[in-house]
Amino acid sequence: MSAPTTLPAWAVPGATQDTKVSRPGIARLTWIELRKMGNTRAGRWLLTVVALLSAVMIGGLAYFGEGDRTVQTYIQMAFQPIAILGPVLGILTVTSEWSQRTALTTFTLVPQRGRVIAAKFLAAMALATLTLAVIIPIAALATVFAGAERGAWDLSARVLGELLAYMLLYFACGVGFGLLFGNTPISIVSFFILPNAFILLGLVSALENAQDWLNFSLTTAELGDGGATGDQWLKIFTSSLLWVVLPLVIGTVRTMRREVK
Amino acid sequence: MIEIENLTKRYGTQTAVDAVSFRCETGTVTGFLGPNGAGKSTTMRILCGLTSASSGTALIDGSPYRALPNPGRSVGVLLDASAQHAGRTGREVLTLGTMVLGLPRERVTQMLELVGLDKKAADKRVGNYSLGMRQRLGLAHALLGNPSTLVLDEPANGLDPEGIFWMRGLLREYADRGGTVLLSSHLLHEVEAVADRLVVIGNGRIAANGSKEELLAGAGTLVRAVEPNQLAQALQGSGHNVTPTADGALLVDAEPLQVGRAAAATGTVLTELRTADGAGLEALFLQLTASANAAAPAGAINPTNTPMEAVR
Repeated sequence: MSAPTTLPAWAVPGATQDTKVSRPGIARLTWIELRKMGNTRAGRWLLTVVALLSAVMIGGLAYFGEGDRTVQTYIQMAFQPIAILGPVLGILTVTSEWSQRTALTTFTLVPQRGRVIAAKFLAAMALATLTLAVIIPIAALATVFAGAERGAWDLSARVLGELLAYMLLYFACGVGFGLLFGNTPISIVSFFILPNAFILLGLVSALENAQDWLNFSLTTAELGDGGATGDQWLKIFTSSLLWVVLPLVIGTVRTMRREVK
Repeated sequence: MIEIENLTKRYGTQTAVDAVSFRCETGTVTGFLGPNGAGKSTTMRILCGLTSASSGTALIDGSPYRALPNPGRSVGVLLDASAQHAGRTGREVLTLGTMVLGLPRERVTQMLELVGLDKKAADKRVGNYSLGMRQRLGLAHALLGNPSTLVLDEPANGLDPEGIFWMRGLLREYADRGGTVLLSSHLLHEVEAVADRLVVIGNGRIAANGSKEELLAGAGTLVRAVEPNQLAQALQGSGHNVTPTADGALLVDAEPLQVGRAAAATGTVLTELRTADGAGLEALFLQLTASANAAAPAGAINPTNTPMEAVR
C-alpha cells in the first residue's frame, strides 16, 4: 500500500481552482441523494426486494388468476405491498446519515442543511414516482400473457393519479418520520405502528369524529380506485397535515439544529 | 489561511472552547495539540461550520466556512475517518464527492492511486476497511477538490509507521506548494516531525502557541546526575529554576555550560547533560494530560496560561 509522496500537478493546492467553483444546485444534490439511496448494500437490497415483490405479485396473479385481470387490476394488486415497503427508503435516506455517521461528510460539503433536506425530499418523491413506473411495464407484460378478453387495456388516469398521490404521501411521511426521529429502528417502527395506534384514540368517543379527518390510514385507504370524492380528498389533506407536514416541519427544524457527531 | 479569533463555545455551564485565537499561515503546517477532550475537535468543528460558536470568529481565507461557495473546493476536511457508510465502496464515496464538488470522475481513480488504495481496495465496501485504509480514503476525500487549506483531525490514527511517514511527506509537500495545513493530534511526537508551528490547547484554552523552534528550544538544560539533590540545591542557590522530570532528570533554565560548572563546583557526577529541546513542551503536555501536580513548564511557554486543573 505504498504511494509516492510527490504530489502530481493535478493534486497540488488549488490546482483546479481555475474551473468554475459554484454552489451545487438543488437538482445536482437531488441526483446525488437518489444515487445514495441505491449505492449502499442496504439500499440496493431494498430496491431489489421491492422490484422482485412487484414482479412476483403480478406474476402470481397472472398465473393463478382467472383470466379476468386488466392492466389496471394488475397495477392495483401489485401496488399494496410496494406502497408499504417503499417508504422505508424515504426513512433510510435520512436516518442512514446518522446511523452511518455520514452526516459529518454530507453537512461538511454542504453546510446549508436545508438544501440537503430539500434534496432528500425531492429524491424520495422521484423514487416514489419511479417505483410506480416500474410496476406499469410489468403489469403490461402480465396483461399480454394473461389479460381479460375485454377491456384488458383500460387504464384510468384517475386511478394512476390516486396511486401516485398515495405513493408520494407515504414516501413524504417516511422522510418526515426519518427527520423527526433521526434514528432508523425508531423511525421505521413508528412509521408502521403510530398511524395504526392512532385508531385506538377512536375508542375515546370525543375523538371519534377526529378519526375521519386525522387518521391517515383511513383517509388514504380511499385512494386507488379512481373514485375519491372531493370530501375524501379534503380528509386526505387534513390527515396529511398531521402525518406528513407536521413531521416534516418539526423534523427539519430538529435536523438543522442537531449536533453532528 | 486560517484565522481563529477569540473563539468560545459553551455547552450549558461547561466551556468547551475558551477564547481561543490562533492563525495558520499559507505554506505552513500547524500542529494542533492537546489531550483528548481539550477542545481540539470542537474548535475544528466550529471552523468547518458544523457547530456554531458562542462567540468569536473562525475564518478560512477571510470568509466563514458556511459562506464559501463550494466549501470542498476551498477546504479539505477530515474530522473522522470512521464516519463513512459501511455499505459503500471507497470508489463510490469519492464519486459522490466529485459530484458535489463538480469535478470530473477521472479524479476518483487518480486520487485513489495517490493515497495508495489499489483497485481491489477501492471496490471493497468501507465496512471491510482497516482504520488505516479509512484514513487514506478520508485523506483522499479531503484532497479531492484541490483545496488550498486542509483541516485534519487525528489523521495519523490507525496508520502504520510507513503510512505515517507517507502522510507526513504528503502534508509537508502540500504546504510547501502553497497549501495551509491544520492537523490535530494528542501525541506530540506525531506532529513534531511535520509541523512548522504548534498550538497547544488544554481545558479549552491555548496553553502555548508559536513556531516549533520557539517552543522546542529555549527550554533550558536537561541534566542527569548520580546525586541530583546536591546539584539542584546548588543551582537553586545561584538563582535558577530547577524542575525534576518524571524519570529522575532535572530541567534547569540555564545553559548547559552553567549547569556543567555548577556540577564541577559541587563535585557531582553527571550521566547526561544536554539542551532540553522539547522537554519543556513535553512537560507542559504531560501536565495538561495528567494532573495538576506535574512539573511546571519552562522556557518559551507562558506559565500564566497553563491550566492547573486536571483535564477532563
